[in-house]
Amino acid sequence: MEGEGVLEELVKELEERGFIVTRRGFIEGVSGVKHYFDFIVEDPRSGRKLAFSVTDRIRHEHVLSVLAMRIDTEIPHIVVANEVDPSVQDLLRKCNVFTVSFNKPKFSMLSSLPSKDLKQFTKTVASEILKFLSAIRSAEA
Amino acid sequence: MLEVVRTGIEGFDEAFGGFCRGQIIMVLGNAGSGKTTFCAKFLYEGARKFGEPGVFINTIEGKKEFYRYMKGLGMDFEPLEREGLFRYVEMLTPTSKDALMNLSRELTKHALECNAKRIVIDSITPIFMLGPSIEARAILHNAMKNLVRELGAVLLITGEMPMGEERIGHGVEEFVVDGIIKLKLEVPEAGAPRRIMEVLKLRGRPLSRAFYDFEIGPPLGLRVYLSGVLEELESSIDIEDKVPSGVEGVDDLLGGGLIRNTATIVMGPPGSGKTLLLLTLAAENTLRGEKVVYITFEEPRQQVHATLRFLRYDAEELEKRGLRILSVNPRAITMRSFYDIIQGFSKLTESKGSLLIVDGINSLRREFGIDFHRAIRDLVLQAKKAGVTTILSILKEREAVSEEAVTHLSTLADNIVELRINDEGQRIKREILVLKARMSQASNMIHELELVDGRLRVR
Repeated sequence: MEGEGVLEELVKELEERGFIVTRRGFIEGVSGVKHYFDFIVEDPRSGRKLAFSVTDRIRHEHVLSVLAMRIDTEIPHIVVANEVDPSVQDLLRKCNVFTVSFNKPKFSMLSSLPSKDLKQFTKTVASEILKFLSAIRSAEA
Repeated sequence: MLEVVRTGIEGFDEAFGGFCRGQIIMVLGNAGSGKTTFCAKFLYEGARKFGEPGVFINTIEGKKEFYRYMKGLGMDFEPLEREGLFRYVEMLTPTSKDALMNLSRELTKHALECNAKRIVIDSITPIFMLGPSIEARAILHNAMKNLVRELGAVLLITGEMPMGEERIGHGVEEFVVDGIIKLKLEVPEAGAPRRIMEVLKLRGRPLSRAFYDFEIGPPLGLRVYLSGVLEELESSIDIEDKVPSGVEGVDDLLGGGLIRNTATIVMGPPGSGKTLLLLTLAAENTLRGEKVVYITFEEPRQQVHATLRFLRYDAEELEKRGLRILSVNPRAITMRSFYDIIQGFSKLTESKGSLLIVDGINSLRREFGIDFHRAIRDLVLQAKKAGVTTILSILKEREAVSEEAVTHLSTLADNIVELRINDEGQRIKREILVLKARMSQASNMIHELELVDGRLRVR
């Protein structure tokens, strides 16, 4: 399956769950710098936004740039990657950056995800987003 | 309430209490100002005294040079590395656009692996020189701050200031960091180098005073002087440890002798007995086993030997026993060579319990002009640092030294002994008076100083 197809599946899943999804959108940070993301997901009820990126792997070298975007945009960030270093995952989670990973050797590239795993993949991501937005709603309530 | 992190740096914690966990502190300065040593000391004491693991990311210096230099200053990092309390990361001269990713990798990986509570990036300048915009640098700082907070660490980053440049001028760092410490090495054209630490900002900590003297050297590596160098050095003086003058009666006037590691000025007109008093001090203390250096700007060496013989001492024997006599022509001495002598004597008298006696210090005034007082101050300072007791003689004569000049010098001295000449017509009477004797119960009476059978004594 093509990488583009994976993203489309995700968008579809999120839209079906009632989110407004902007593809390849940007958010202007506090600094004035524009940060580009694969999706920007908005909850129409609360107006809350989430940044959403898809990448191959998240390792130590990515921590500063991921954190930099997260802090400057002031919105939570979900990163989907084939491979996420576990220690980095914990660290980023504490900073409101959520990573969804498939740390299995066979998923070396998103573009090569077989269709049966894609379904699982999109469900996991969507649940992660829902979980997060529910947490925000309860915190606000 | 922010958790206080003590640096372990002597003087710094007493002044500021330390840093706070989660803070980023910027340490700025010109090359050679002591930034690396300050940061190294922070990590070294953190590991040694508080068991906090540290990571040192160096973009300038290799590991071998760093370890060797720090060991020379009394900080041996190898055992700490073996115990897992220290990691040195070479990230030499980042030149590529990947510099920020490399920094992220080294910083995060090592900090997470060893659970670092103290991190140093020395220096951030090469990374910033690669051209990230001010906005990008601000975001990066915020990202680092977030990371450091999550790690529960303190991050020190150093920044280079171009030589001769005083302003910080990095653009954004000074606003986003929690503390700014500026280190300075002042090297005057004439005079001893002086290290100054200026704390410009320190969130959450009181800043009652901004400037502190500090020193780099073994065995501590680095220490900050709380109350100015002279006052701090004096805090270690033992007032019961006294050096006898060797002249009968003089010790009683001084309250038991000269307190070791103090500075004394002996002043008086020509013929009042200054040289006789100083040479007696030199000879008697040499015979007691003290290491004595006698510098004269007044007389040639042969004259010094003759005066010693007049005082019934065997000059050659005294020299064999370790008395060092240096006769220096004041017209031939430059400010630079004067400081070489000062440095030199501290090596000559390396062991504690030594005396430096300088006769005719006023001769330098003509040569050094307005730098004279600073030169004397540095002389006294160096002597005190080396644990040396100093006795200086100065001519007190209206045309030679003004009252103002004597007043200036008196502020540097712990003790002032004045010798006078009283012309009684038939004979000249020498007198001695202790004008000042800090930390001692000195006599305030004028006594006669007489010369009997070639020996001085107080009547």
